[in-house]
Amino acid sequence: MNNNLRKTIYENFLLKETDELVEIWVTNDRVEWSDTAFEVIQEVLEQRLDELPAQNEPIFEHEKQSIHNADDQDLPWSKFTDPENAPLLYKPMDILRMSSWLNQASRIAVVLFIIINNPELSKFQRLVMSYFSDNPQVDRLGLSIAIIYGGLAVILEGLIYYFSLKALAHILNILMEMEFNSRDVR
Amino acid sequence: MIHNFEQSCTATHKRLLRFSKFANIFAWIILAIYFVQTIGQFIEFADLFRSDILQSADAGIAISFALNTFGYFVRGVIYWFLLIGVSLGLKILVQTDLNYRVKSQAVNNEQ
Repeated sequence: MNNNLRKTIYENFLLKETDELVEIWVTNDRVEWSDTAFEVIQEVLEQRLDELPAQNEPIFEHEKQSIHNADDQDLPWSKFTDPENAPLLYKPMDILRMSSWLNQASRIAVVLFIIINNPELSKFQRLVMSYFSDNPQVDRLGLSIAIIYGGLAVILEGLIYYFSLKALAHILNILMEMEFNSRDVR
Repeated sequence: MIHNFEQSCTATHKRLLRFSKFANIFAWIILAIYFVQTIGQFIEFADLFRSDILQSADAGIAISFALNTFGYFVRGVIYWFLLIGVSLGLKILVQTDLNYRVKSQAVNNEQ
């Protein structure tokens, strides 16, 4: 099995450009590529190059970088906040802050609406139960309908706010990215 | 460059920027209205409890009233977020379009 796998990897790497293989070799990303892959790359590169380039420190774990989290402003977001290239009509930091708040608010809104609408749920339950008051045999059915329908209505309201806020956060990020891409032409 | 930028600003851009400003002001008005409404509900809630009407009431009614009052505030905050977001989004849109217009003018001038 190992020989077959190795052969397949070897054939795949043979098709790749030397530069591409060198990049993989130098980056030394052990998360993305297996040890076997590196052995094969070494073999291919030794055939193509006189001397193997030095490898970077092996990467065993990728740092988690959430581009959606505006708090991670070091890498992806710093380009937007460069004062040399700042837009005139808005402050990028305002957008980043608002985007972060919108993301947090969207999650909090769902929980809050479920809590806030609980009294409404009991009112709805009483309303549904009143339809079944004449027939005690279907009381349980009435209760089930009240819980399912009322619960769905409460969750849906929370989700409407969740999606609106979340969508707005993403729209702001995309708009800012678009604006940034148009900035260098100014 | 700013000169070019201001020159490129059309009536539509100015209208959108006015709308953005209006959304921003309206957001604060909405927040204030909902905040005042929350305080009003809270005072009403406190008065009811101080009076004899609700003294013997069960905890369920009290919780229901408190959540209802809190609900006003939460809705106000969410509307504030949405309106401020719209206001910012419109500003970015105008800025993007102006950036492209300035480029277009620069290209035309070079030709």
